[in-house]
Order: sequence, then structure tokens, then C-alpha cells
Amino acid sequence: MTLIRVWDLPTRMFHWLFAAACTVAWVTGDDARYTEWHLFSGYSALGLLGFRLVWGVVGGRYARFTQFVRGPAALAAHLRTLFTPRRHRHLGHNPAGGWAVLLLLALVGLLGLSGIAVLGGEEGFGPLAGTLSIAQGVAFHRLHEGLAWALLGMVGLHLSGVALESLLQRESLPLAMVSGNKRGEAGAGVAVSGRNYPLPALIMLLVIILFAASYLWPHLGASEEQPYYPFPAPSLSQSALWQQSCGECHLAYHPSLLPQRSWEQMFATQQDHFDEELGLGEEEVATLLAHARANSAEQVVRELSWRTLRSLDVGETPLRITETGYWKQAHAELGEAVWRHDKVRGQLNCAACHRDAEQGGFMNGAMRLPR
Amino acid sequence: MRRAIRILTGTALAVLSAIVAPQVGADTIDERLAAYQAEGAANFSAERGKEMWFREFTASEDGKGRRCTSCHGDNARVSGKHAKTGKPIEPMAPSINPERFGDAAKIEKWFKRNCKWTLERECTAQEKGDFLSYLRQL
Repeated sequence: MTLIRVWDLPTRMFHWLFAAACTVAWVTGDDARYTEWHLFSGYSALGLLGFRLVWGVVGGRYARFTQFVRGPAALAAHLRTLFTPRRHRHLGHNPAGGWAVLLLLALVGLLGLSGIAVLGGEEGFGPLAGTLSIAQGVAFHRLHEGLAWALLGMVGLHLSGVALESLLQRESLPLAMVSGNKRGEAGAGVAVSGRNYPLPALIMLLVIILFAASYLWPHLGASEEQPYYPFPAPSLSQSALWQQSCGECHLAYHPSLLPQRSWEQMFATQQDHFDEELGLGEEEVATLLAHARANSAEQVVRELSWRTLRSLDVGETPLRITETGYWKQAHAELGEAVWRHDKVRGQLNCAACHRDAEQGGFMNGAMRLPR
Repeated sequence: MRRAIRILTGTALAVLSAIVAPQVGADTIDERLAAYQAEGAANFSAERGKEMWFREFTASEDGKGRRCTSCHGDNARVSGKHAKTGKPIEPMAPSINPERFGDAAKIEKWFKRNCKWTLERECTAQEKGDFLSYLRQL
């Protein structure tokens, strides 16, 4: 028995970076504030996957698909003899591990592609921006989430397999994925020190670092006065009169936050506007209502408006944005402490957290809970 | 020489407008007071204006007290806060906020809206004149 170099350096680096990218993507996926880093990790995983597919053809001996991808018969034989003395010890991936690798790679590939579809459809960003409707984006979102759960399950299987195989072989497989070495007999084409391919590994590392820097760079130039929003809002139509008339007493909520019927009722009842008699002139009302109608939730193509409309019952005419189902859903996880916070004080002050609320943005990445 | 004259006249104009500018608000207030007098009001009193500015009225809606200072705050020289929305309201004192009382239409708009909320009726010409007489000297 001697130590044999099984996993070359690029394969090991791929493995751990891939695992890290998937972990970051999983952790950042549920919180819109971290969309930017969700995308960074998702794109990284896709890039690493691309590398692995190429490396699986031209890479080191045990990295090649032809070395470890076996048919169903070999898989069945492996599983049948797993707990018998006849079990065969594989230096590289065993047949079950080989299939786990393929499934993990396939799931991450589908996750990346569906994620790009979500980004294009729901947010209007990325390579598919403008080609998908919001409804399609939402459908891909559901698929994306389903795939993520499937990947979590697959990772669980993978880890169980690694643990089991480590016990059976009396050798730590995770450690082997760090050092690259496993115990084995040299001979019959098995070299003691397989090639390590440092150059491809170095290139991989450089590409990842440059990619991370491209995400970090704009943040370095940002300040309180000129914050950096990774996802700028679509160019929403603004009205100076709207900003002035509505903005005198409260944030001038953008018309795309409510349906047309809400705005019509809002101005029809302006003499009893949340307990205040506005006394707006006829001409002023006409101008404001025209702006509201032209930019209501029905008119503006954006996820926020789409989801707001979808959350309302037919004929439901909310006058408060906080009465819409989507608003409640989007703020459900916030504790009482947030609303009582000195810089927030109630639910009218969108701009306390949504730093682009004045223009109606409410984009991912522009939201910060006050300290 | 021509350039010197241009600079001199320019400076003179700038100084003149700087002296005149703060008076614009005062002119608007005087013009409003004259208009209230034309409506029958007379002998405006800053004292009465002050008393009313801090007086509490009971809202029929919720039985709670409402005062001008509910939103404008007890100190007219600092910003107030909308009682419901919390939006900051610029100071009322013209000495701190020179833009205050510079626009007759605005004065009437806010008298109308805010008297309705606080007193649940429009203010009379006499009351408006008293308010302006009180606030202008702050």
C-alpha cells in the first residue's frame, strides 16, 4: 500500500469552489437584499460547471467522465455487493458516486439556466431581459425553487455516500479531496504521483478572483449620498406635480404601486383623504389622476405591480398600499421592532428602508433595514 | 473701465436684491392682512394668534386633542412632523425659514386644509390675520 495521487489540483479546486458557490447561492436565495451575491454565486457555479465539463474530457485520469461513468449494470452490481466481502474498491469515483457527480452537475446546470430565466422575466435584467414575460419569469421561479430543493436532497445523498464509503474504506474521502491522495497499489497504469496540472488551476483561481472583483468594485466607489444599486429601477414616469402635491404630507407613492381603480377612488374621496380634507382644485385632480392612470399597476411592466395586482381580489380597491396582499406577504417576516424603530415609525415611511422609494424603485439591493 | 462698471453695477444689484428678498414674504403677509381687512377683520393681534396656535380642539372623529402644534411642534423655529405620516415640516418661523409665507395661494391652501383638520371648520379672516401676525414675528 502506498499513497497515490488520485484527484488532480483543478478537480479538487473545482470541487470546493463549486460546493462554496452552491452554499452561498442557497443561503442568499431567499432574501432580495442579497440578490447580487446570489447571482454572483450562481454565475460562478455555472462557470465552474463549464470548466468541469471540459475537464471531464481533457483532464486528469480520474477526472474524466469515461473513467467513472458506468452503465446501470455496474451500478446495480456495486450496490448489491456493497456490504459483502466481494465489494470492489474504486480508486476514483465508484459507480454510485459517478452518477451522483452527473446528477449534481446537471441539477446545477438547470438551476443556473432557470435562474437566468427568472432574472430576465421577473426583474428585467440579465441575458434574457426583455425576452420573457413576468408570468414566465414567475413560472421559472417556481421551477428554480423546486430544483434547489432537489439539489439539496442530492447533496444530502452525496454526503451520505461519502460518509458510508469513508467508513467502508476506512479512509477519509473528504480529506482525499483536499490532499488529492488515496491509499492504493501502484502498477497496471496506476501512477503513484499523477500529474497535478497547476496551470489550469491557477487560471481558474484568477478568473474567479477577477469575477468577484467586478462585483465588488462598484461598491468601493459608493457612499451614503451616492449609493450603488446593482439593479437600478426601470425608468418610471415621474410627475413634478405628483411629487409636490402628494409629497407635501407623505412619500409620493408611485402610481405603479396600486391599480387604477384605487387611484380613481383616492381622488374621488380626496375630501376625506385619511381624515384630511385635501381641497385640491379640479384641474389639479385631473392632472394627478391622468398621471396615476397612465402609470398605474396595470400600465407599468414590473414584478412589483404584477404581484400587487395578482394579490388583489376582483373588485378589491385598496386605498392603502399596506392593505394589498403582496405588501403583507413581502413584509410578513419583519418584526414589530422594525416598525417601532426611530427611523421608521409605522408603515408609511417606505424610504426608511427602500432607499429608492422616492422614485418608486423598490428594487432588490436598494433595501436596507435601518440600524 | 467698462468691465469695472459692469462688475460694480452687478454687485450693487446683488446687494440690493439680497436686501429686498427677505421683504418679499413680509409683503405677501401684508397683502394677506389687507385682504382679510377687506373681508371685515380688524385689529390683528399676535397675542390672540399665539393663544389659538397652542389651543387644543377635540376631534369629533376620535375624541383626541388636536392643536396647530400637533404637527408644527411647540417650537416654531425647528422642524415639525406630520402627526400621522411623520413627514418633516419645515419651521414656521420666517426668521429661520425665509421661504415661509412667500406665496399667497399656498398660505390659503394650508389655512384651509389645516384649519379643517384642527378646528373642523375653516378659519375666519380675523383668525388667519391673528395667526400671521403671531407667526411673522417669530
